[in-house]
Amino acid sequence: MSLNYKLMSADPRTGEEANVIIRTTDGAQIPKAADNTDYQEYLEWVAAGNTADPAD
Amino acid sequence: MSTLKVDAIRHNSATSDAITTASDGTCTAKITNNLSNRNLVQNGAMRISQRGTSFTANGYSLDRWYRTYSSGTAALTQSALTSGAPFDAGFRYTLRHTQPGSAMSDSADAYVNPQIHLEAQDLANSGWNYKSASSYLTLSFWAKSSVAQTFYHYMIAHDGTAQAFSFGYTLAANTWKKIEVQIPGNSNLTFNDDNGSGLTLYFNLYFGTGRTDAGNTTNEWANWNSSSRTPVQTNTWFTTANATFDYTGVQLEVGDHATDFEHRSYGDELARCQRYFQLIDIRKTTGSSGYRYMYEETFALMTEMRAAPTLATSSGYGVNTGTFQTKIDGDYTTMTDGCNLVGSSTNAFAVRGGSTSTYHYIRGRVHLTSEL
Repeated sequence: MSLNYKLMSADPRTGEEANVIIRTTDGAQIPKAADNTDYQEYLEWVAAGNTADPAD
Repeated sequence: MSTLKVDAIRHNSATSDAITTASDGTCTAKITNNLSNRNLVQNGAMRISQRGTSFTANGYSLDRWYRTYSSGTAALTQSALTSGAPFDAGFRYTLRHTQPGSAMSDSADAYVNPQIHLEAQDLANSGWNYKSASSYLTLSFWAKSSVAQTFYHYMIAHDGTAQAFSFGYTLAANTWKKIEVQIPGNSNLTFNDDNGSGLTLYFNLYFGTGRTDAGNTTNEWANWNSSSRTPVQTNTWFTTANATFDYTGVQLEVGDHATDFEHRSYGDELARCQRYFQLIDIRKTTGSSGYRYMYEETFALMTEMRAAPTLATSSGYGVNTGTFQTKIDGDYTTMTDGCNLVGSSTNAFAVRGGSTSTYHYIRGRVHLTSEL
């Protein structure tokens, strides 16, 4: 299963950058936490030269 | 009153002492029953199944148990036990892998690989002197296959220079067997005192030749080599349509012999699993349909999780199906499905409705995972 990601929209009320990445492959919402293995997998995906889709 | 003065007690047929006495008045005993807090594996009895009881996709299944396979549609189920040796030993469930209904074709890349990942800190703090070849872990479990065959499993210690340990055993068709494996320490092993993946147990059911090696030596540690995970495997089970493999009673403990399985209460085992996966039902209202002010809400987790969890999915309140609902209008008819994770930590998480509006009512279940 090939992975793909999308950035979560910034908070529309505060403009604060989202602290969550969406894995579009299955819809999982992943916090930017160093010891979260889903986030580690995302960082490896980025390091491999991939770029997440922009937020809506 | 008299005193029996001996240095050790040993059964006539045994090769080692059951009790060894010491000059300071203490003793060391190899007791095998009624011991607690020894099992390093969660859900070894396959009782906890928060995600469901039947699975076909690669990924997590029963709590803590992960499975990958290369192709076909293979079922993984929580299977009820109603008789047999493990039933008599107190087990009521197995984890059953069933091969696809059409016979699989073998290939070098084929694999079926159930597994469980254990935290490094639980090994580092287990009491196992893992640097010493005379200090042991013992792995024990019940296994049954519908096809007579020798199976090979393996484990990987991830920290430092990754080390691997393979072992094998032979099953007769449709016959339960209790497997016991002694795992010695090794000077090359490292387990960090952290919440990362320390040891993964792979209950491998098949690897094609791309991942096996005739030179693989069982029952000893070696540098991890992805092309030499186990000895070359027989493919009879893999290529048999509807072949099944059941296992339960998985216990990993410090010591050189297997003790009786540590049966835990349902609540105790569930709480241990909730460190890695939680289902939390949320129902919150402002109290008035015309009074909308909620935007996001923070909720406490039921127990501290291993890491800030991912929102894997959401569903209806109290169930694993349906949709998470948000009511944003006063007439109770307009509902926005789904929810968004705003953030999470190891003890709390914050969500808001799928809408960017304020709302007065949220209701549903969040599925949170911090698996390894």
